[in-house]
Amino acid sequence: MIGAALLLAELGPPPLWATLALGYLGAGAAIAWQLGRKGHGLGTVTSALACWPLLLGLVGRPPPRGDLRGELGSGGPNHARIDACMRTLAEGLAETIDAGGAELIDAAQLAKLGTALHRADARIARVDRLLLDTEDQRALVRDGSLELGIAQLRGAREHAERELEAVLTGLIQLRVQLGLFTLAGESEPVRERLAELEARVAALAELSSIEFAQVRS
Amino acid sequence: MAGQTTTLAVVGVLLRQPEQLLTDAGDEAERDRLALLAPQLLGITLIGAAIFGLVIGSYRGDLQYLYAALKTPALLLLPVLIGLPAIRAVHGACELEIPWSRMALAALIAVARTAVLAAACGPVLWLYLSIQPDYHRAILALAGCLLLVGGPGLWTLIRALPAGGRNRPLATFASLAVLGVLLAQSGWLLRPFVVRPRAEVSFLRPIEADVFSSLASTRRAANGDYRGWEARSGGLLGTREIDEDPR
Repeated sequence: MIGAALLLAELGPPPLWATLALGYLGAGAAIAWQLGRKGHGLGTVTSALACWPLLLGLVGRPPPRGDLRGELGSGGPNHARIDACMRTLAEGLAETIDAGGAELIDAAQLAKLGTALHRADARIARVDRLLLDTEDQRALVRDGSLELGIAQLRGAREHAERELEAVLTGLIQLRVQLGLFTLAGESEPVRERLAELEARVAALAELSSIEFAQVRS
Repeated sequence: MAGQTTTLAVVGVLLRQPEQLLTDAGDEAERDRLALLAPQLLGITLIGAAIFGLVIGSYRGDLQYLYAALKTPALLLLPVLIGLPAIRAVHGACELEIPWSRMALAALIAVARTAVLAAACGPVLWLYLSIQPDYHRAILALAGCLLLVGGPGLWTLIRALPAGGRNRPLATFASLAVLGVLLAQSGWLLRPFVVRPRAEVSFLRPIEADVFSSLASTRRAANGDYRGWEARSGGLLGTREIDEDPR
């Protein structure tokens, strides 16, 4: 113990850069520990170790829910709306079950419908990007067949958008029918409406592929 | 990880429309976005800058590959980590209050974009360095590349900050000045990046003087005055001895 103290006295105070680096890493470790306790992911916790000044805004806050797929190009323009509709519907179904009603729609069935809607929405986003990319080229290349193809693509896109809009409206109606089911106990209209929506989404996928194939040819 | 946005998608958006990574849906949404994106943006920065560092290290080879690859991410991140409070204060003085999360996210996006562009510049710089140009030309090529990729990065940062406030151009100018000075000094502290082919490889040089006194010495040397090259260690920033003129 005395030897260690003597050695420390002989070495003198640590250099300024070492003190600063230790202080920085210590603060990083404290913030990383705090974020970890709140349930943030390993990536965020590790990032805080090295770059804690950037993550000060997250201290004391729970981890975020959801992801950014819909807003970063891998989803479509209606991503948030689809999620909101599906969430509302799931909540409605949960309320129905809580009220002692039967399970009208299977959770897997609902998830499948949501996935199909997201796929249709992503196709619209892809067409949007394609149209945006070709916009620059159109100024350089004047070609009648290209103009026709772009017009057809626009038409197909508008049609897909209208269909998707109709399905989203149908989902809201379905939510209302769930409320009616809770009051009147008639499950048949709910099941019929869901089957209709599923058929419509499937038709939307088929129709889109046919229309886009026509544009390509 | 199916529920997560892929890093490749983030890189695509960084290059195409970096402002898409930001949100105007309020402070809460900004914090969520920061938590979701920070690990990926930092990862992109580390990988992109390390690739650029490898290319710089190729001029000397050997251990300099590793040293430059380790130091280049720090070169990009240090100015942001140190300068962000000052930039926020400058904007605050110009009556533009920017939430910390927004500031941090904007800075991370700007740095990550710079790193991706630097990595994209890598093959061209590598090709140039592979013909073993003169040491000074290699330094100039490195500086040119950094200017080329730093411009879009800084522009991204400026665009990512909310509009409004009084004397906004002044705040922008002051922010750029702060980042510029910090980048120059960080580069000076973390040098060497480019090492002469027959020189000894070292991770860091002893801390001596600062980038500005070195520039002043270079200017004097260009005029035939070789005083002021005797640097001595003096704390974090160091000092440089200037001999009295004997005349």
